[in-house]
Amino acid sequence: MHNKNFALITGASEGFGKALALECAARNFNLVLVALPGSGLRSLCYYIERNFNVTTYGLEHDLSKKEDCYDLFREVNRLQIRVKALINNAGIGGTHNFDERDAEFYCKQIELNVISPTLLTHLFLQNLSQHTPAYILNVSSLASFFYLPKKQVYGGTKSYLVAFSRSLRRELKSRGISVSVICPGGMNTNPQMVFQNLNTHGLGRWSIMNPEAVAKIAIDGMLKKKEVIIPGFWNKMFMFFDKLLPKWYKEMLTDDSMKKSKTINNPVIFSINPLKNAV
Amino acid sequence: MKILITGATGYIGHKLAMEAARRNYTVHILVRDLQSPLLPEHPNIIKFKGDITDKRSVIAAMMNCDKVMHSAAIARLSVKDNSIFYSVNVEGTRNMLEAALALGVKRFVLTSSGAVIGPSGKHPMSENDPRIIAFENDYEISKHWAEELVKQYCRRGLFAVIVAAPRVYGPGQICNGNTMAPLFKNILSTRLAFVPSCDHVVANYAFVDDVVTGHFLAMEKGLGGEKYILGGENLSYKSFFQTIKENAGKKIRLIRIPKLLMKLWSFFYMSICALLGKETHISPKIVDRLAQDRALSCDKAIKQLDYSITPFAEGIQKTILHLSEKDFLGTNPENYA
Repeated sequence: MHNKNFALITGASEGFGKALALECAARNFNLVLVALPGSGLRSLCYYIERNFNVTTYGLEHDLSKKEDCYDLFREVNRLQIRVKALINNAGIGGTHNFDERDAEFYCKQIELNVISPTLLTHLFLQNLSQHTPAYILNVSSLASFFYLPKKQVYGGTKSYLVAFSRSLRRELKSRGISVSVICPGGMNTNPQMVFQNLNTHGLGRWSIMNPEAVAKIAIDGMLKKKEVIIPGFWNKMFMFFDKLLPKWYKEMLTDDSMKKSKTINNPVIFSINPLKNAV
Repeated sequence: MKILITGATGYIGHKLAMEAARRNYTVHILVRDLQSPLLPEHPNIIKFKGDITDKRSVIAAMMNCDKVMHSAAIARLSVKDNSIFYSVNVEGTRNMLEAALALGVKRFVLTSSGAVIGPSGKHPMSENDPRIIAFENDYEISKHWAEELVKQYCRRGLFAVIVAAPRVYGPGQICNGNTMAPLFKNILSTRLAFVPSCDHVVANYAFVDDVVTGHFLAMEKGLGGEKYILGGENLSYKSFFQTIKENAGKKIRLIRIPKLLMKLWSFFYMSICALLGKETHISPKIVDRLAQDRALSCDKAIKQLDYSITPFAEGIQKTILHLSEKDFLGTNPENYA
């Protein structure tokens, strides 16, 4: 068996997952990175091995499929890896009217955002409990606290992760496993998000953070065994005002901001990369 | 042999056009202003009036060309209207690619930027390394998308390569793309060089003649859909300014300034420019960029294209000689832009 500690990160090839991988590597975690085939995982692993003193495995799986979650588990066992931290980051985002996408899309979203982290946590629990203190970090979203239009299913899956994490945390505390959940707001996770965020104005823009900054806060929080991690000053303010402001006023604000976000659809982007329409 | 070169009034494009003319190509250039003082002049150069955002003028200029070098772009970090980055750098490139595919162009070279690659880690970055921090501005995103478009058209059958240039210096005209010349001019005329206190920070500096030769090498030997970094030496600020000092031909004083002071100064400068309605590159964000390592590896271009790098000391001697010959010192760059 490897006598090294590994962090397993899902959805690691791009965006926040990539930032988490780089942050963990900088803190000398050896890595098991999981991402979709053809998503650039290999070049990321190569980069990390060359620039940091850690061992990195890149495993390509589609975690929205249950078989792939089991395959991943078997592969990690075969490699005899000690998982010290399980970071469930893979997810499908999106902002659409409910009837804009077909039902299949939402099923896939639920499979990846809900079923996969639940299944992986269950599968890796024994491995984690053998090398305590161990950590589970689930990546939720600020959208789990605000019931925004066009984020029905996404917000729901992220609320599930908060409830799941907080409850499981109380169960696993005595076994030396700390469960944390991070709820970031808007992030510059891919070129399209940066483009949208550069063209957002007002409060929304101030609260936007770079994934590398959020990743630092996330891993800090995870290692400090925090329960719910809200990164950034403005996101914390949103949470604070959420408790103070009356419901009708909040609804007016969020309706307004969702309407504005609709106006920045650049035709360029969708014709280049229609798949990268995720948060 | 006919070649279309865009951006011929720019720093690199101008040199590409002159070099192509010297190599006996019939050179088509697509320019917005036929009266521009920055036009390259040579008997082999044929001027077409137009704009890469106008498809018809692109097709007219590209007709009968079997090679294309597309170096036109908005190469600044900030402009008043951000949408111009997308209309020119992305949609303009799309027009170029669409025309090239339709007209059966055999070789297409896109001039891209080291800014797309971003900061480096422990080792210099190479073409396939992932970006390690988020994109920071519209320029970077627009050039990234232009590269993505090139790859998309390669899958549709176009033979295209991407070349990426970092901070480019060397003899040439003073214009927006020539970002290093104002720095050299300042140092030579004031005999003072302000060195950031983070003087260990490493960046890549490419000699313009290498970059130009690299374009032709990439066009001749490059593999379709591949990207090549056409850089120069990786230097810390310390050795960068030290080399300038040693080759200036006069006494230069190096003054170290703390990052905080640079940030404060850049903030004031930016505010004053904003008040006067003047465009400027300088902002506290730029200071942060200057404090990031941006080392690049040109190994792929050296191995696959026989690209070669002019030593920085040699390049800087040529640059300083050129600047003093042209008596650019003390003149206002705005007069040339």
